[in-house]
Amino acid sequence: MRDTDQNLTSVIVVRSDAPIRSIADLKGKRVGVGAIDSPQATLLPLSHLRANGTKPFVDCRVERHDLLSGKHGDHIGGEREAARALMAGVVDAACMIDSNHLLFINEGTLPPGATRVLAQTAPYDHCNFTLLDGAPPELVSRFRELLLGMSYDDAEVRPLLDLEGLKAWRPGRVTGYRALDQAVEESKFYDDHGNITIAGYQY
Amino acid sequence: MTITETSPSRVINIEALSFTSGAHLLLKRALRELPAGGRLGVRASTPDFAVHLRGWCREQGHEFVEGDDQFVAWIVRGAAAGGRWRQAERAGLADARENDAVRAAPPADWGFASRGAAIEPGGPAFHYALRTKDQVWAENVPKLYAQAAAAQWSLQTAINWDEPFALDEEMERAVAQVMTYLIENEMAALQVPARFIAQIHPHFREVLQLLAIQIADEARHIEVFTRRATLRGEMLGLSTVSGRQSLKTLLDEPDFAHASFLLSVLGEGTFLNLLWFLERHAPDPLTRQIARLVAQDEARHVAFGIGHLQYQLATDSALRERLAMAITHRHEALAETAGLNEEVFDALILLAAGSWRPQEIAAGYARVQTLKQEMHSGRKARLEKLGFSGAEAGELSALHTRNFM
Repeated sequence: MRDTDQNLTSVIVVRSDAPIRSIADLKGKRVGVGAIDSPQATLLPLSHLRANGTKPFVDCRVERHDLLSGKHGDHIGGEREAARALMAGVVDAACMIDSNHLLFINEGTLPPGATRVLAQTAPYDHCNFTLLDGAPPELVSRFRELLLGMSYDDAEVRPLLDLEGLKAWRPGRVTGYRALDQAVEESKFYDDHGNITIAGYQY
Repeated sequence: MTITETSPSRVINIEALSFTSGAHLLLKRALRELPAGGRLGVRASTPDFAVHLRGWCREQGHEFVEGDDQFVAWIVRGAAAGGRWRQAERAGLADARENDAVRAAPPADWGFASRGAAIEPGGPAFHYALRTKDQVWAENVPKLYAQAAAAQWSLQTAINWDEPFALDEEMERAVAQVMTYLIENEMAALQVPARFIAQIHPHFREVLQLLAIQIADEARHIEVFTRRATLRGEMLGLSTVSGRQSLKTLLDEPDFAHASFLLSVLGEGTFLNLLWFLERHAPDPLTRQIARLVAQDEARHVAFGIGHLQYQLATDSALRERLAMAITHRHEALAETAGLNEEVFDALILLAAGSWRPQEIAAGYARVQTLKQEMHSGRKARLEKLGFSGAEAGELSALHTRNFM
């Protein structure tokens, strides 16, 4: 997996002048999230609210921003729409990756100083290379070896690393997905057979 | 801001600077002082600083370690940081006078990088046809560029357009005819270097800069000649097939050395004699003034052409033979043409005569004969500068186009 896919956090952001000081204050408010299947902008932040005593859909309203759903969060559009909705006063909080909060300020979506971070999830991991059972082990091993052998010092491979937004490949790990596993369970995204059962998923 | 050294870790107090106001500059500076694996303790007072720091570290390839009472966080410097520049190479030196400042054969992937910059290795190859120093350089090129930049003159302020003079209509028409001829020659002198400019590796920047000024010179000349021709309401004069044919052979010459030779050394060299002639014999002060200013520019163009060919001949003496062939080929290509431009010659005689009186016409005719001899001996001298023997130079000069340029 990419080094940049490890140890992400998501943040729940509110307007600086809002009288919202804790997750409990979000009760009765509108929380802007990303696409229905976005781990970082929907599933994990909503799980974080739940773990801290505010049940999504019950204690607070959830406003989804379904851009390019079906990509499982591999698109920034939903988070940006949530951030815009926050500044437009359409929602009272917006969920996004930690670094996107800074990005949205720098690109002008969020005016500097106009928002503050209300809450932050524990670190989690994002993308990885996932194998099907029965993938040929020698090819898998060779692929892994080639990826891990790429150095950012190497002018030939550096453009590929830049393109993919990483400095180094890291050995894959599953420890960074426990929180997501739990969030998916809580949201009843799948049934026991792996069928998508969450209401509103149509992609 | 304070940074205190406690090797191998350092501490930085970023105070109230946030990532939306440039905190990363101070962090990068502090991290540069640390080896990979070195730790930087960060103190900061803005809200959300740790949130942004975590994202920034991930993007930069540093490890983010949760802080404690004293520090917002620790940064562990990543091994990849700075990797982009680890094998960076200096692309020569900015000042061409330094030793080894200008490479003999700069790599194709240096492309547009400034000479003297540290260059990240890799990237696309730029396919320049003129990519070695021998192909384009001249020892005098930095000096010529400095002179050219300093000697640029303005059409508006350098010429006294209001200076009073009286020429009759026929004399004015003769001026317009010579100007018409000069304009089409200068158009060729503008387009020929323009063809080559984008074929030259940017490492040889002074050559590009000089050619760019040369092109701007010609643009100004075209304007000033047009303005002089039409100053008193005259139409422009006649343009002959032979003149255009002769100039087209310059534009069609695909080799930079051959084109420099035919255009700058022989053509513009011959042109210099013509401009000096006009400076001396033109019937009005304005034309004399214009000829003087234009000749200054043209002399630089000739100097670069000679300087460049001398440089190339120093390592490739067989080039001399090819240059001689280039003149011969051009001569053969133009053999069937009318050659001598009667309209221009007649106008020159009249201008040098200054009146229609037979005696004056005879004097004007003699002056134009002298001009032709001066052109020939000028060409011969320039050819000798390129290492041709006196006899060779004489023969080759005689083969030069009768159209002067």
